[in-house]
Amino acid sequence: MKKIFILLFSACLVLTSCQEFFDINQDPNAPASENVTSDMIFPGAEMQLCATYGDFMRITGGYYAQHYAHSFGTSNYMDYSQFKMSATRSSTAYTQLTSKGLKNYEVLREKSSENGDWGTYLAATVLRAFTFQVLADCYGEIPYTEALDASNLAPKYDDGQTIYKGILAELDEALSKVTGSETVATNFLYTGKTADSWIKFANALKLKILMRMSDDSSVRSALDAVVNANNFPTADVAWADIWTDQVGQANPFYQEEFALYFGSTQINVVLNVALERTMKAADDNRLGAFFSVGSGNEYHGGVSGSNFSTSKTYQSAYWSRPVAKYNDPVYLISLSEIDFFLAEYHARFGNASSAAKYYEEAIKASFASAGVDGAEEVLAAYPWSASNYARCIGIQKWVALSGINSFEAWCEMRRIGYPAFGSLTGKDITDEGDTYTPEALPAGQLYTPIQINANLGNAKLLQRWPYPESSSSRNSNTPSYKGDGTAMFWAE
Amino acid sequence: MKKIKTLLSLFLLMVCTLTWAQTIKVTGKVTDAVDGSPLPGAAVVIKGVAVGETTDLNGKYSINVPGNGTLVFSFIGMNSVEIQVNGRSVIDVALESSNELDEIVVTAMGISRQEKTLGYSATTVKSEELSISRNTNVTNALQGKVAGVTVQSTSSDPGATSSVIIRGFGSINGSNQPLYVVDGIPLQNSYVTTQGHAMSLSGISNIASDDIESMTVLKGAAATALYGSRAANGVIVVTTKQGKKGYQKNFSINYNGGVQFRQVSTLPILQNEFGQGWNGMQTYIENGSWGPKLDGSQQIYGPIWNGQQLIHKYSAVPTNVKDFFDIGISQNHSVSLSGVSDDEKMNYYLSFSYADDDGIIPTNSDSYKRTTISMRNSYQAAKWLKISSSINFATSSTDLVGSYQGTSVIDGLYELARDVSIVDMQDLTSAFFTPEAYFTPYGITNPYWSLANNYNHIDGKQLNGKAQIDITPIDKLKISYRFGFDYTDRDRKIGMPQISLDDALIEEDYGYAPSNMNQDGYVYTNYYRGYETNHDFFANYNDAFLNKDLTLDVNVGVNINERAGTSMTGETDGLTFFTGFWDLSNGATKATLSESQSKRRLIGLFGDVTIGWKDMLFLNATGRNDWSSTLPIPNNHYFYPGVTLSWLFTELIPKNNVLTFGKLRAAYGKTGNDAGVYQTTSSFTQSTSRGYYGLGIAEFPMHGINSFISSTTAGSTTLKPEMTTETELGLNLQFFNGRVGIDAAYYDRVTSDQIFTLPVDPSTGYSSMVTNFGQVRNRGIELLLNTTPIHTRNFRWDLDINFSKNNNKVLSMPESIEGGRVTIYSFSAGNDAVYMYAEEGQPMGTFYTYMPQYVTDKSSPYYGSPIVGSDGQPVLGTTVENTGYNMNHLWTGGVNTTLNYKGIQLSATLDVRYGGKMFSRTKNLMQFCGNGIETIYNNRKPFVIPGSVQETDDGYVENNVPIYLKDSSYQDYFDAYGWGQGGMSYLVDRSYAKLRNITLGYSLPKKWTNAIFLSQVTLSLFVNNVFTWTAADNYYVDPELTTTGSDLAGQFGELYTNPACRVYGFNVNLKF
Repeated sequence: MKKIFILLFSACLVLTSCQEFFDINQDPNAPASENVTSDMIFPGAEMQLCATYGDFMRITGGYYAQHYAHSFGTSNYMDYSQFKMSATRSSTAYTQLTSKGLKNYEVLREKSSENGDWGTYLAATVLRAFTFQVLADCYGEIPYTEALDASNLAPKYDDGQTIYKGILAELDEALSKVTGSETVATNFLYTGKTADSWIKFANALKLKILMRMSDDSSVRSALDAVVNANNFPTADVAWADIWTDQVGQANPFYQEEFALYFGSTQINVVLNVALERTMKAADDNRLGAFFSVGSGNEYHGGVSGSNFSTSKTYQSAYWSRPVAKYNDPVYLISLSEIDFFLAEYHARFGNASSAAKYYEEAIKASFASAGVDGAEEVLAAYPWSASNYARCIGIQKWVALSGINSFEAWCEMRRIGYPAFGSLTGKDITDEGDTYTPEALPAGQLYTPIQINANLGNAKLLQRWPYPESSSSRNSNTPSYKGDGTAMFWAE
Repeated sequence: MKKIKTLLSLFLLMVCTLTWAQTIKVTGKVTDAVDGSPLPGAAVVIKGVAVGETTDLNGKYSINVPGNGTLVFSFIGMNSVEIQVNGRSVIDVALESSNELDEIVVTAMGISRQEKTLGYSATTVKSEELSISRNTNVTNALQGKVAGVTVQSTSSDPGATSSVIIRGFGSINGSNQPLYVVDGIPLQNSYVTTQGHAMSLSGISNIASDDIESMTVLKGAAATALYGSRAANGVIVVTTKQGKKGYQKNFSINYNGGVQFRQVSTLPILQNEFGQGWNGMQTYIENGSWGPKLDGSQQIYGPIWNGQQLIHKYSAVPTNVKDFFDIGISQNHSVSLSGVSDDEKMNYYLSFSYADDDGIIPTNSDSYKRTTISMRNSYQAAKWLKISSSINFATSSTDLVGSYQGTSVIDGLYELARDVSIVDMQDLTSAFFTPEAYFTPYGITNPYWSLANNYNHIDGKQLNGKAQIDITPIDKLKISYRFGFDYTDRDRKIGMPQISLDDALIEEDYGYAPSNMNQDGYVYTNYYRGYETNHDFFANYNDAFLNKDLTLDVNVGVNINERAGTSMTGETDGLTFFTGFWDLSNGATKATLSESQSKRRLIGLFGDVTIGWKDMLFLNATGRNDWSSTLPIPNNHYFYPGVTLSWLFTELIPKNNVLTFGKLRAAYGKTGNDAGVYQTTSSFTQSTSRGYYGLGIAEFPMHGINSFISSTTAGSTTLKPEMTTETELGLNLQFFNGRVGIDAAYYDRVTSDQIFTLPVDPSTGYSSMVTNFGQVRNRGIELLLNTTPIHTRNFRWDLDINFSKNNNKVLSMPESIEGGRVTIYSFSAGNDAVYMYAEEGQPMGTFYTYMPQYVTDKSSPYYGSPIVGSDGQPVLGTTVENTGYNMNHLWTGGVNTTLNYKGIQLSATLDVRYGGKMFSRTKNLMQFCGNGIETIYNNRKPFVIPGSVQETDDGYVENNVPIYLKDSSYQDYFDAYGWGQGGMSYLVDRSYAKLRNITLGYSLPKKWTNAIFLSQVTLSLFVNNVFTWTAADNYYVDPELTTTGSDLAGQFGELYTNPACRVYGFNVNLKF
């Protein structure tokens, strides 16, 4: 018996005195948190926005904006083509933008404000504001004031106005702390640049946010201020020159829809007849920059809501696919968009001649981005009209964004109301079999898709997405869905 | 010194006794008391001396014994009898069947106890029952045999793992599998999930069934408290065979082996009226059967390649799916040598086994080979010192055929149009039977080509065993030290071929070029090694007081456990050699490497006291305290107690022949369970981003820069151990001397403070969070009835029936999370989603999905009618709703029966599981591609959904918009709207009754076997998985199969599972 007691006694001794025996629960597969610097976090954090905005948002926006239609033989995006979105479909994008994007912008903001690293603080705040705006533009309401707090598992949803005002205030706060010469942590958007570029980007983002809210007269003074300061980017804000033609290293849209090495084997996205008609009518050279020719060396646009699945004539090779290369930039804001905003600002609140000038600048900037000549032909076909400024800007912005940022096109169409729907539906253009009459559709006009989203109705753009399943199924504070046809606060 | 004196005096005493006694020769016969048949091989031993004989074939014996000595007669399954010689020279003995409850059960830490002293449920399955069906994985032999234990073969594929669940699912996130303990040593029992299959690579599957003496299932928490944290889900104690004397010699050699033939048994039921096409029209390249009615005409199909095109008769090939499968031939052999030294101080057991299983898919790409070598020895070095050791080495090699969508075999097969024959496609030299010009380019391809060009191979090794010293310093005390070790490694390789087609030879692709099938190819390599060590120090003391009325049995001990694993994974794509060369150097892209390491430690201090009173009342108390490295310091220790009571109430009533034995038992126990490794902190991980359909669209390092971002899983610094508390009441009754036995148990088990990686709203900054929460209760009854309805001299019929019913309920779940529910597993594709939740107030595993909507306004004349949209299609809800169904069986049961007639034995096992639903992608696929029997609803003619209404501004109006085949709405109705059922179209009834096994065995008469110098020859024929009865509306799958893992998530269901099979076998058992 004595032996047992000795044994037990010594065992107890070991247990009480040697907690280090158990102190082995630090994950050897992850770096120690205290050693991770902003330089190590920033590129990974910004790529979360890049991967979602440059891929999922582009694809869905493209279908909703009638830039894209569905190719023959596949049906992966048929619901988007019919102006539908489900709670599950957008869930992955939401999860990525929040738990990987926003969370890490928050980590960067904490680290940088602790160190007084205000250049990085501004950069992280800009990406945060950009992301929140994108989410608010998709869902209308999402958690914002109570978001990114691990101690609150059911953050309340805030309405779009609260989010818009909140991110504007955050941008102003970050801008107030920084000077242009300060450094910014390693990042891909402005490799090796100082905070100056980020300040310009922040101003462009403010312009975009304020113009979305411009029906609200209380933002006028802030809008005037950012326009008058006129400190905007001098080049398109885009992730460019960082791409390699390899899996995980190339433009995300290119990988998703074109790259075999990413597992893309199916043809889904093709040109939409609405865009085709509009661009052809103006002999728009950008068509060839944005889309490749289909059969007969001609540009052919498909019809929203159909994939011509039983057609003997209009099959996969017939349609025009987007031009996509591994090194295409992922655009956040282009010079052309800034000019369009300024044109609209001046048309509504400023002077008419500036409006006309910025309209021209906007179209020229778009041609410059696309790398083709011929802006004059488009300006001739769609000349500035002060009395009909919304239609001019609406249609030309839609065209300009069709090659670079379809998601933003979908947002601005919802706000501006142009291009507008005619009375035509997809069935007037095709019977989904061997009858296809694109000439039926006038230029500059949208049409109701075949197999219309019954919750939306005819001649309407999809206005919002159901709250993402990854949030709504786990958060008891999710409000009830307002319906596909309920406009955002900025498009009411 | 005192010890030596005691020994010396004992020795002197013995010598004196022997000297004074006069030795006489005693002969006689040992028979079975019931039928008077002789008992060959019965032991006849002189009491007090380890000297004895065994009876011969006629039950006769002869032994020299002191005239005043006592003989002990014993035989397995019979009560031992002691008879004083009293100078007699002939002693005949009739032995009675033993009360089962006198049997010895091996419980915690290898401690043996008489079953009657146990206050909890312990069911033992013996070696004969385990090896009869020749299952390579021995756990399958438990199917239908033990009440309250659900054994599920996750797949019919060779090498597939089996899920064993004792008394229902308690843990939502952790493992619900029991702990396997082999001869006192816990076993690493891991499996690998790959391409939809859970494959056994170590642990119980690496033990040859012929090496096992018995398996005892300890169900309750009180039973398992001593094994520590990992025993929270019950323990299966495996006792291996030890060296034994043979017949009339000190050793025996045993061979057991045979061959088996596997045949496909369950396939989806398909329609045979419509052929290749889409929307009712013929399309030459579609992979489904939504085309026109089959008419027997000659038709072209597939693309035009190099001026050629396939033609075939447009008529059904009813067996085109079944024709693909072939007969898989398997074999297994085991040889063992078992013996005892002359002085009986040493015993030894050496065995070798080989199993080679080939499945029903053509070629050897679904096969499993396993070799085991095992050796066990023990040596009684001195009366007070015994050393023993065992070592077990196993290697296995598995090839499997992956499930899932794409160029997998099953998807390609099940989507084959009904008019396309498969057997012609074996010629892979023809462009028409490779992706180059295969008749459909829509993601699937020729299954034979897939089989020849996809690769998934696993090699596994396991080396485990123990070294043990037992010291008996004084008579009543035994002190032991045991070192247990277990080393496992595995090498895995997956290869997917590159497809790189140019369409130059295709003259007409009918709208979709074969080059759309192009893929980059892929090589995946993973190496893993893991080890576990255990040091056990324990002491046992037993004594008796008050005229032996009061007995005391005490065990105390310490267990020190360490477990660690290391794995490295390499991947590459863009293959230089398109197929067959599965090495990382084959990639055009640099191979990516990733590694993962884990280590954990645990120390447990335990004690166990049993007090017995007059062999009638037994009280047992246990306690254990664990310290675990996976919990946050300093709150990393936890205590859990257990107490049981066993009362043999028949000791109080007069002896009678009706109720011959009765025991009441009660138990209460707790078991604590620690966390997984590295869950106590949040960390940073190398950055990667998803695209829409795939992972890793932006992956670091990128553009020459590396990046780490905050992990999406939040750790917890306040983790507590998960606690399981169980109360159990039981009753054992034996009537008519064991002819009828009843064992009933009631249990109530609550698992609290579950450690769960909870999916959370990503708006919180994390998509999941480690936390303790929730309570799950499993409450149920188990009934076991053992009967021997007929028992005559030559004929015996045994019939055992077991039944169990488990009610499972999630008692609490924080309201803040997912509205009081968490996802156990989910499936979403496109706009479909099926969730399996643990939700407060509901049974575990409640299914949610998008449901068709019905008129809920009771005042409406259309109350209860299905609502459809303006397109005539069902309106589905916009959020997932409770389907009212869950994964749990309502009850399970089993029937085992054996007929014995003069050495001929016929036995059968029926396994019944009733109720519950499962997810079936196969079902959905059958509706998507128009091959399923359901898709000929209304002969595919236009129809209006019966009784449907449309919602208008003026209320509901009768719907008259028909569903047409021509405009794709008929197909949509089946696919997107799930035959009007919405997401319910994925759920099938999981009920089944399986005739698991029928065996016919014949033991050759001894006079024949003796003539060829063998002591026993048994031949047997058997069929496993003889027949499966499923629910009437399950046209699709064997509900036992799963592709979602082998634990709780495995209950979700299947995605393109390979079909089930039936096995025919022949077996020979030879004993020398």
